[in-house]
Amino acid sequence: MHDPAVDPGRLALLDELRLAAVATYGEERVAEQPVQMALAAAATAVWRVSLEQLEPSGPEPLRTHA
Amino acid sequence: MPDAPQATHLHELTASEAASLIRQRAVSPVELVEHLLSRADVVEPIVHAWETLDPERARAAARAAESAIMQDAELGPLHGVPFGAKDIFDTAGLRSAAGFPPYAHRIPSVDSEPVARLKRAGAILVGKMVTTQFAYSDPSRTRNPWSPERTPGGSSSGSAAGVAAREVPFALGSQTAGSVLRPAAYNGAVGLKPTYGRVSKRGVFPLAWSLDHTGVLTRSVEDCALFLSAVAGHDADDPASIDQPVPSFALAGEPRPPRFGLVREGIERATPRLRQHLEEVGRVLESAQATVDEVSLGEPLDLILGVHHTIMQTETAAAHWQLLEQHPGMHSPRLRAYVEVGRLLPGALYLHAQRLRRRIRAAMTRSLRNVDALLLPTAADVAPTLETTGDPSLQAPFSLVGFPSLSLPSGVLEPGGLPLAIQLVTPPWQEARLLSVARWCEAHLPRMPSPPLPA
Repeated sequence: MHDPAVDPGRLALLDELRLAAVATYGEERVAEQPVQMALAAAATAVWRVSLEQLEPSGPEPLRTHA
Repeated sequence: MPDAPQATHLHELTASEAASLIRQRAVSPVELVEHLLSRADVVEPIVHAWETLDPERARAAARAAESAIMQDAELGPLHGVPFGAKDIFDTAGLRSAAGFPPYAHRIPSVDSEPVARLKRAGAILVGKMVTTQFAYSDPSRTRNPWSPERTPGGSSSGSAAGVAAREVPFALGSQTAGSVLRPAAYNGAVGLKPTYGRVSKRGVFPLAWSLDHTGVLTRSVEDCALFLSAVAGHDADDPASIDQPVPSFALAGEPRPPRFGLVREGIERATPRLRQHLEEVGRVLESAQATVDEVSLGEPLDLILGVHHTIMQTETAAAHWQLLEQHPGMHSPRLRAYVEVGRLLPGALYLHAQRLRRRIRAAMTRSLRNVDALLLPTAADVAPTLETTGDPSLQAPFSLVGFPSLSLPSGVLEPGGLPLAIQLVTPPWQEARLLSVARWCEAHLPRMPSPPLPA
């Protein structure tokens, strides 16, 4: 089974997120464990969501519970 | 009033039993409130479920309730029944801190709408129950009444542990990922998350607006029905409230054996011992003439969880980033990091996730087409140790789509003595069906014993 943790696409997204975090919060803060964990979890979610293709005329985003 | 049942058993009364005995004048609301306050003295040093007890106002409300009974006044369905509220629900005149130090002295002037509706139904607010900070996942100080070394789950930690510990018959909780059902499962309580929009969230501190649900922790399915009868219904002042007809939730008669859809993704995610337990539960239900057929959620679980995570993190960041800047250093570590990273997620991705959410919702609707309810483990395993509030991955899918879900105790793991639970799910607005199926299961599964606490 494919392991998302080592997927190149996810790792690239993780790098991108980490760079944005360093630019916003600084190296020291980003090195802390809760931020590292939050970055890893967000990268997995963003990567998985980004894999899905949707046509512009597909489902609309709002009124999510209607 | 006539003699009450044995005082030592008063804390064992469910809300429905208490309401009935109070109406018959067999139990005094004053005595019941006093008994539960004494119960807190005994078990709180172990469980830590209460954030703020409000004994004087609870006693005054109980005296007023008793007086109304003596005057043969018209009584609400929860007349004289004590309850607790998770500390993210505003309560008039009573501290509502959401686990956030800067709110330690925050006293709202108005009740949140669920609290107000419960009071109008005659229920008595005894106090506020511990929440993880802002209902996120940093563990609280509450302990699991089955084992103080185990988490009670979260974020409705105090509500679930307090109900299970017989400190109160029912308590308000809230769920954004799995914060009602998972604590219910870990503590051996019943947890109900109604359809998104069914119960008002006005006056409840938000975590992620499109995912937050008001829910309840009880010790019986009947109590969930009683709760829902009191609080369900449109609230024009809550933008998330949806104007739908409110049917009767009363549980009458013996329903026919249900058709269950055993959720493949739930079984695959569970630990071997939970998988084995679900197989045993399936056999018990089938032996009582239910049908159990395997179904799929219709979309991959990792995608469902990715969509949930993206939406929740973005909305939580939007709800909290200004508070984070106004009160530096006051947020719990995981919540602070979650908000900081959430601010970095692009808007286009959030909307992509919302579009996928609609596709997932349609797929789950199809999964439910030929069954009465989905059946899966509430949690992937029993309560873990205290460094976590547990894994929300089997509850979050139904917070994402807003379908009603219910956790029902289904046994106790031996050795170890920790509760096990099943989760039931129906289509939106079908709480009456959900409660009926849950009641049927409750009748055919072993009765949950009390946790090993002092009497």
